[in-house]
Amino acid sequence: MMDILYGFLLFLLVLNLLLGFVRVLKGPELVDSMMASLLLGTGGAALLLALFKMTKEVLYINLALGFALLAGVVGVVFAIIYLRDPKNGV
Amino acid sequence: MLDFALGIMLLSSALVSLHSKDLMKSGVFFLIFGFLSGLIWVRLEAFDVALVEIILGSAITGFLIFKLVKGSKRRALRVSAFTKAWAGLVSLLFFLFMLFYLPTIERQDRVGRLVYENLHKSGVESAVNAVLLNFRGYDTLLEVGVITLAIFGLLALELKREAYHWDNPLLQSFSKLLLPFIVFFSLYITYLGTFSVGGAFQGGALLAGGLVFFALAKQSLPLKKSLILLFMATGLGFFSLVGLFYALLGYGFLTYPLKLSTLTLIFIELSIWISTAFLLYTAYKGKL
Repeated sequence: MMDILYGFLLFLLVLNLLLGFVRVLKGPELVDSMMASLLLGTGGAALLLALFKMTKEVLYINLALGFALLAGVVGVVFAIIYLRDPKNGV
Repeated sequence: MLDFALGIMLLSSALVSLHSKDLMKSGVFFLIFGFLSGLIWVRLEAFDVALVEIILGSAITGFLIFKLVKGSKRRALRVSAFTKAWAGLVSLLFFLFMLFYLPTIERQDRVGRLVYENLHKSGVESAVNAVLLNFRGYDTLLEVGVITLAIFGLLALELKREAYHWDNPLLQSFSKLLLPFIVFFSLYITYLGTFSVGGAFQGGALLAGGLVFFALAKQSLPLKKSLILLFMATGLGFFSLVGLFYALLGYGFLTYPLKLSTLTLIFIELSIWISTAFLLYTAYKGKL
């Protein structure tokens, strides 16, 4: 029963990744792409956690933690380097 | 279905990254490419590669690319149609070769078996780190040397460009809040390298990410410049000193006695951890 539940969860997360990726590709501005890619990062961490629940392999948790810690930093770095330019606003 | 979706996304992000006119857009798509290939390595159960790809490919390389793009005036390269056709032909041939070659490979034991047989002689329980630090210690030593010299060469250029930062109270408190967690987790990853997936390079890169974040919030580390220089040289210095020490004791260069090898390797990992972190941090800042 739980396996089916996690399988369904995995399916939803992959769907989330795919739809987020469509946004990344279409995103009219570069900022939209970057925001959607942060969503992808969160989805990836969730995907790893769902895989951990299915396989009971503890390594997945470490990978998910790595994702979670650095995804935020990437967003901030992008924002400061790209948006602090007077040409691009802010 | 998961693997199929990941593969499609990987290919299309690589395509966009290569074809976009805007270099910054290429950088963003390169980040996504790194992140997706990290997930694919996870699916292939290559956890060591996945960890490196997640930390370096989808974060640290991204910082460096963003900064590089912002600093350069050049637009994306224009590639002639002839080059494109040539590259396309070579890739098509390679793809066809792999398509017919891959199904014919049979699973067989290669030198990997030797590593597992001799693992008890190395002092660590993780096969990757046994190869990296013990069996092929020379290679790793020289790699550390190459990175160290590259960054010192960068420092010798004396870049005058001002570092990017944003003087924002929210960002400052957030970076102060996040840094301890990153330091702790990177130490954990480094220590974990002795037993399973992890290692000094990965942990150091993670710490470098935290330090870059710290620097972006216009905070400076309470360290003297000479101390940062010392940290940068620690990995190369300590590694070669240990090698020489055991050579003088009669064990041979970079050959560790069995009883002390675990302890020695942990100390070597710690030294590589701190120097990788500060080397990448300096590479990002461009100056001390």
